[in-house]
Amino acid sequence: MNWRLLLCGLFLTAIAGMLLLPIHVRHSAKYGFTKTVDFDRGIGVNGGYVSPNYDNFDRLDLDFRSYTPGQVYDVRLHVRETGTVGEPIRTVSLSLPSDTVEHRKAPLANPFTTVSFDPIPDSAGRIYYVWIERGPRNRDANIALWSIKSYSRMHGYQLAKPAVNLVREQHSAWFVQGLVISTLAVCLVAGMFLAREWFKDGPRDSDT
Amino acid sequence: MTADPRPERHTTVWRWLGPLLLFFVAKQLLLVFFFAPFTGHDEVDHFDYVRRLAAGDGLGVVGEVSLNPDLAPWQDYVADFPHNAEVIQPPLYHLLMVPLAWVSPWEAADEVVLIRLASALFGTGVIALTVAIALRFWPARPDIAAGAAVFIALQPQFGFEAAIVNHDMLLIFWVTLAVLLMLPTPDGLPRTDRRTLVVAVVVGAGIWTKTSALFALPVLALGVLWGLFNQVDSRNRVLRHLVILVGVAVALATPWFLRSLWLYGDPTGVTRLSRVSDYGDSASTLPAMIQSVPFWRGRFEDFWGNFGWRLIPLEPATYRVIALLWAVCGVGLAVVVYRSLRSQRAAGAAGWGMLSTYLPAIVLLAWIASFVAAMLAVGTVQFTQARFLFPAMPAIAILSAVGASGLVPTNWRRGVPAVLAMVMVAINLWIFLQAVVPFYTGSGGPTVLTR
Repeated sequence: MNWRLLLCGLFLTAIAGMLLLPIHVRHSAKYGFTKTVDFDRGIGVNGGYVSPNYDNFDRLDLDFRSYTPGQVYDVRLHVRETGTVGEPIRTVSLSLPSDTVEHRKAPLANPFTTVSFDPIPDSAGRIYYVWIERGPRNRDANIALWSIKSYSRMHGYQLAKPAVNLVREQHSAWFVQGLVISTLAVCLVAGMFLAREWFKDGPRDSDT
Repeated sequence: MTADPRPERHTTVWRWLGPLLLFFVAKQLLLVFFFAPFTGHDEVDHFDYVRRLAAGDGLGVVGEVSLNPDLAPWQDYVADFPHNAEVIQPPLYHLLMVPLAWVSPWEAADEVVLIRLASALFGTGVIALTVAIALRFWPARPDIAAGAAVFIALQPQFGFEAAIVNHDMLLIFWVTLAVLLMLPTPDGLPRTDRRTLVVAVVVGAGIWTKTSALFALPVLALGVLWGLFNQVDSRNRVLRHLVILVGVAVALATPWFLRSLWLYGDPTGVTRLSRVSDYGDSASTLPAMIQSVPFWRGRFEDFWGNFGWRLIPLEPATYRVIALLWAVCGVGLAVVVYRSLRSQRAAGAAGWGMLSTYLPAIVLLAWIASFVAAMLAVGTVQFTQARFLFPAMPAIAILSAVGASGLVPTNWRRGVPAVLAMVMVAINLWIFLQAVVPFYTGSGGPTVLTR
């Protein structure tokens, strides 16, 4: 078996998988999340705003903090676009054992709880209010939402166009053309070197 | 008489190092354009410092120098807006960038790209020097040199540093060059005074780039002592070289230290920097940092992620995968040490003989320890980040490569750098798809702070 070809095949499959299969991309936010807790004033709240920069917003990662051990928290999570009235556009019921949302998190633990819902198709550029409502059995229990991360599901290759647009918006056309030409030239030379070394017959560097 | 094998070895090394360096340059070309202007750490300040020197406005004093008004759109990326806190730094990097500012006819957003390219060049130099160091330690193990080069070329934060306007990459270059020059030569001859003098000048250049270059001195002193351990140099010669190294380096940097002492009351100016809001508030004590698990978790996250002025962390699951893969290298390193100790014991080695076997490892560990100390020292006066450890990146890369090779049978070792390259390309692609590209792109402008 040609291990070199097998390895290359596995690698290319992994790369293709990342580009072609849907993945969750995190929306643009300072430090990756929207902070809702106000540490300076010691205020914990039950909701906050997220602003997706892509369509198909379908996932939230929530940093819950509860203060009463030995409970199961029944929580309803609501998502509503700001400036709209009526029912929230998404509502998800959750049952959270207190040990998974306790306010003291282990230093290496992931503090977030993932919640998925049906994609919101035209979410890019809109602002949504996300809040939790305690169930009847936890009406008086203390549970707060410290921070929120939001995500959209999309294909990796779909990010190429916005990335190119970003470069074009930020820089003059002369610069962008220079980038394309110089990168292609460097890749071409590197590819020629690499192909010569990897696929030539006889002993290679590492054999010496 | 046999032919000198070195030219042939150099040719074969270039066969893989050449494409790797070209790949690195191509990657960095994309990154310098992709990262939105001025979103690197302190990039606005460093860029303004360069333009200030280019305009002949002098070095300036912290708290008195204001940023150019055309940089106001990026004020949220400035630690001490409207002031430029980076004028507290020595000016060598900024002076070297002045010709680029002179020839640039473009607006700030394009001009910053031109100056970023220099960081990519310094990064390329660091990779080449790392390969030279690894081959100096283990000439018969090109897999270690190749693995270390791959590690650095694809380390995500090293790539970020090498794509922004910042003096860190030049500092890493000087430190790596100094360590290479300080190591014993392959011919085994005693060290010459001239060579030590050159190293001292390189360290002086490092200090004029960033004063944390001082932390390289213990590693370089170990390089001098190497001659004593190997019984190549006498005690008096070693002492003379230590005096040349430290004396000349510090003497070269003295004008800058005196200036800082005069203006800010201490030779490096760090106490003045700690008065910048948000900087000094995050200062801690050495015991508090050393004993804190969240502190080390934060530094691990800085080391691999936290792009764009620390605004873009990676996902917890991504950090876990990286930690797991890096831990595999750690296990491999432990296996290598165990095997080596066992074989040394079987051969009856002891004392100086045994110590000389482990000198490469001791130098690499001392190199890392020195810059961990630098990172912690910064943390006692202001908030600290893992990038202050990056001048030891070559040592970290070489030890990681040794560990990666340590777990595979001897005849499989030649494939380790290729596997490492594939794994790290996949990690980079995932990081950029999942967190970095979506941070900068999408609706409403390049970053969440400038939208």
